[in-house]
Amino acid sequence: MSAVEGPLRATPRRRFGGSARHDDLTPSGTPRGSRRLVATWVPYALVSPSMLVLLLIIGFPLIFALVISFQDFNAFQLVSGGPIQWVGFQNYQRAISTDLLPVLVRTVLFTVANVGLTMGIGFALALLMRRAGKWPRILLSVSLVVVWAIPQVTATEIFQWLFDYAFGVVNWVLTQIHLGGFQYHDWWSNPVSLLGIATLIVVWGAVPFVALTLFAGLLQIPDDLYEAARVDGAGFWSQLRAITVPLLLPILLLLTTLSVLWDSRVFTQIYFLQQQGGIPSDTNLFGLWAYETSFAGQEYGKGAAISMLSAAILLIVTAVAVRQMVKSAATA
Amino acid sequence: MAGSAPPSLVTAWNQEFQQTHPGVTVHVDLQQWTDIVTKTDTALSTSAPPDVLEMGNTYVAGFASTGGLANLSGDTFQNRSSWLESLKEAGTYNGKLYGVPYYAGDRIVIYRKSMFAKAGITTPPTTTTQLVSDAQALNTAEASVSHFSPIYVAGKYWYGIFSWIFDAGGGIAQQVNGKWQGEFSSPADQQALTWVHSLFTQGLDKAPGDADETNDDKVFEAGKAAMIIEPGWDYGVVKSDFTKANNAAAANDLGVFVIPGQSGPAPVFLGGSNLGVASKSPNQALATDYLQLVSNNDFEAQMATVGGVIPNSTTLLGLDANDPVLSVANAAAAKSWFVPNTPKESELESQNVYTSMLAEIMSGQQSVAQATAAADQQVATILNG
Repeated sequence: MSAVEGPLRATPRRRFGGSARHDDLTPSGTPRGSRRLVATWVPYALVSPSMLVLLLIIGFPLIFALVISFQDFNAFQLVSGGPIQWVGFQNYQRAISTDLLPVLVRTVLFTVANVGLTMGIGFALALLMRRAGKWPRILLSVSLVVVWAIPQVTATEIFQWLFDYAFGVVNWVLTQIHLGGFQYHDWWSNPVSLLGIATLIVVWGAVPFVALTLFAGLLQIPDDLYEAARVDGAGFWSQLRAITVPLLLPILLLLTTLSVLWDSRVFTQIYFLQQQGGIPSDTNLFGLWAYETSFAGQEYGKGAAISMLSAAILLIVTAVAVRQMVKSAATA
Repeated sequence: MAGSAPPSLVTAWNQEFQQTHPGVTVHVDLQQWTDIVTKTDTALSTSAPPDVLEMGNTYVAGFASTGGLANLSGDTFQNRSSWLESLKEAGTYNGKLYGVPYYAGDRIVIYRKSMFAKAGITTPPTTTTQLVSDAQALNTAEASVSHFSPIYVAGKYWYGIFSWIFDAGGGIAQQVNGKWQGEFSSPADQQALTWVHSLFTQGLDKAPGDADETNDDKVFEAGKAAMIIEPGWDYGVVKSDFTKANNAAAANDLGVFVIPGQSGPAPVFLGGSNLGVASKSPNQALATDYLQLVSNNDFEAQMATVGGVIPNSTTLLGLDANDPVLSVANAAAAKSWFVPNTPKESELESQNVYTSMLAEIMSGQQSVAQATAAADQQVATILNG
């Protein structure tokens, strides 16, 4: 929750915070040397078990994937264990020369749309919760938590039935209110419409976390700031611009970064919708492309190369965002 | 696999096996067909694979080529000399036996007799021309049923639709001078696919052009379709669904006929399954014993009579002579088509080459010429890769 401390520091309470100051108050007689020693290795000892587990369950597959991305590794190598043939950057070249550009463009557009909608709706709901009365607020937060608790597969299943070709309620409602001939409308045949529904499911599932986190952040902003602003004649938008957004900026940046990471890796929702119809290769994002290449095409080497490429692209994007975040936290 | 053998039969042969092999417990894991290639590859690559596994007949060559299956050429199996030719071929890779024929099934048309009668159709169609005119008559007769579809075949249903490609004299791919070439853009294939697309555009097939066949029988059961193309054993499934729903009238209203071609029956896809032994299994001898038991005369006869499938041996085909459904299925099986015989073929399936091409055409996203040209390119890349 370090991000939440950002706006906290803006309050007068900051003078009493900051654990580093306690050291200055330590009586000079304490053996500071040994404490330092303890202090240096204890944190490492404490995180080492989890680091070890992480290294085993994430590090090993990552390194293995990196290794096979330079090999001709297919079903035969997987089952029989060899012979291994090193092919240099051939897998990368093949990935770049086939579908890289369309998948990249699709992933970027999908991510921008999903992150934009999630952050926009989440922020609006947080503001609403801040201003709403007690009961509406409780109702809203309960609904958000319930939505958040629904597993992705279940949610996708529900939406898929809502949009079903023959039995879906969406087609029925749209036809009943005379919005056009939606009877037996096929939502999956068009890639944009399939990804649109995937966006709906992803945003629906992602809004609760963003809304609740931003709401928690909003509660940290002291009312006197708004009062003072109101006295000076500031309206809703000026207050938003001058107080809310600057003070929430670290949280907003963190949530945006996390959303970019999550939404560019969306897999489950699109994978299940692809089973309904449409042409899978027209709606693949990076993760789905890598999966299809590896497991359907049994080209594990090329699939690993695609994963590496997508990881590299994500690292570059998030490195910029994280730097920005650290900078803004430092100046806050 | 889910839906292969009736559970009672599985229990029966497991009991017999455990009696003749004291101390051995048979554990059966039922798998769904979805993503089965991935699941099987993964299972075969582990150090503790299943001893015995069932494989769709189009997949055997692929699994054998990875080295994951044991060579069964030297083992004795009852009926080996009379195995169904297509299943035997499917189970053979590089001249060695990797998959013991288990059962076969082909596609037939299931229809509602009462709907045909109402439309004034006295005998089921035997040619595509009759199929179209019957479908038009059905559309008129059932005009009051909203979104009624005379024939309901989803666009991605390649097991059904490719019958018309083969009927027109076309195919999927052939080897020319040692190189594989896709045949989809051949005049015969294009003509057949254009005809199928016309069923969609004329409103004779109102299934989604880009969906797979999962919902076909549900729409049929809902009374929204008069004809569907299904594997033979699905007749029993539909019938029992009606019976369970206390709809005896509908259960007795079902009929079957062979998929019509331009002149007479169209070739049908002869699907089915083979049984194999994992090469990494530590229990090779037991596994082979188990296959010998399951594929023997006694149990294969029950697969036909209880399970409603085509048994693995030509000597057992007579069992179905009096069965109204299986006799049609057996007649249909006389003229069959199969996928290109190469281990890479399963990649055409798992990379959605067939289904994507069909979806592009049947949902009208691409012209027949465009979609078939693209598919042929993929066929060549994958099969020669």
